[in-house]
Amino acid sequence: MKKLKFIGNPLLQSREKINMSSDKKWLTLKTTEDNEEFVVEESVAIMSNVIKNMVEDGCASSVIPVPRVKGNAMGKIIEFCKKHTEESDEKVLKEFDAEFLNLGPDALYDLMVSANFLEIKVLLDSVTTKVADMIKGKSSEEIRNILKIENDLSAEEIEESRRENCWTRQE
Amino acid sequence: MNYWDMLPEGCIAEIVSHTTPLDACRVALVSPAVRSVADSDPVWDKFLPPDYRQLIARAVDKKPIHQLLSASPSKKDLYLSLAHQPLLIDAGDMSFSLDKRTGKKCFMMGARALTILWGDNPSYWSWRSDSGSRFGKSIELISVWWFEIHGRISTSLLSGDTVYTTYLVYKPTKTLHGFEDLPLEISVGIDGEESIKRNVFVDPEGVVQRENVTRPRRMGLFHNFRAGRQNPRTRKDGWLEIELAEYYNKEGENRELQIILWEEKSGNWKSGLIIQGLEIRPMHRRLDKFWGPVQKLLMEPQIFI
Repeated sequence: MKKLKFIGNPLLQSREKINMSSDKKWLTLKTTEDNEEFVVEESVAIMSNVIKNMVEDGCASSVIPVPRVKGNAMGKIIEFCKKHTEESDEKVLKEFDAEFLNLGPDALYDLMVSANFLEIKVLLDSVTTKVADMIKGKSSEEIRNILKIENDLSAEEIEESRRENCWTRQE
Repeated sequence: MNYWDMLPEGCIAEIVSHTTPLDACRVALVSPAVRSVADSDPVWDKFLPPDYRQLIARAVDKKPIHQLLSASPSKKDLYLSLAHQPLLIDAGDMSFSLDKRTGKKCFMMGARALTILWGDNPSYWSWRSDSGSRFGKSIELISVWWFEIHGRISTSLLSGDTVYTTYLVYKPTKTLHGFEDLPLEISVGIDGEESIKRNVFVDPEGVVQRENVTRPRRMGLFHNFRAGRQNPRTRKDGWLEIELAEYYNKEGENRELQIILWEEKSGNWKSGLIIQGLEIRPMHRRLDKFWGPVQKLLMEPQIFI
């Protein structure tokens, strides 16, 4: 049985009811990597520039396939977009974002890659700022650990880099 | 799993440009692949102030900067050049540079850009060529009892949303005298509005000697502590600087910031200072974060911390 995720009115049980509901337009997004389907309001979905273009070009028929984005990331993204469509109070949104982005580096990068692919500027900016805050004020070693980058520099290369950037020690 | 391999370069550049120049240099040390992004122009263009081209265009001696620009430097090289070497602008009486850690703009008003009372009378103040001054000249206090200096700078030049600190950049000569009795009064603020007023001692040793001739040396330390932040400090260029007061510059304003130093109450004749200028640069202390509520406190006169 196909897994169907309803984002929106929890009382609605079937696709027919959704189609008959008044003024709101609904879209189905399907992540092609793991075949999860999400039913979303069009106003929420078009926070993604990619989906917005598809809708405007008339390409968005019944189900919009979304490659490269996994189901759980899609769910989180829709949750974010929904909140940002519904809420206009800056303060509330800031608090929501802080809580929402309280994730480990792996989840953050997944979100970032997906938000970049789907062209959701608000989400991309938030995640970017969050990762930037994580590395601000840290030493190169700590940054390497946070971002899980292998140290593939030789000892000489490290020394040369340090000399060129030596003001980071003194300041 | 190496996530930075997965992230598009544009994303990495966005992340780094949301940090600081100092952080970007640290990120560059992480790996060669990351380094090419962390050193890239899109990142360092964000660290340069938005009006850096206009300020460079105001340079007096076009040669060094044009030489640099004709070599098509990277934005990072341009940034580091502006951070290490102040640029003389506007008839050579003002200098512009970048605060290396933050990219915020720093300015020094040379003595010629200041209004110095009796400054045109060689019996009181004497202009001199000075290779030690970045302006090539400085002014020496011969002898004056009414000491008053005004400096003005448009806040539109300064970086927005930044707390700035102002300094007097000077050197004492062998004839330093008269400053030990009363401190210099300072006023820093927008012309016509409430300003921060303080007292500073340009000759704290003289104060100590005068008041504490018989006390052991550690009491001298107590006196220095009492004067708090207003103690002169030796700069990298060998000049002394004494901190005057702070100013918070809001984004997008165009007002005139006025810095005034004066002393005429004591009636003493004062001598023996060489002045390079007044410098204004971003504050680096942790206090920076809490500036809002603290500013009110600092508006009280004569705060000794």
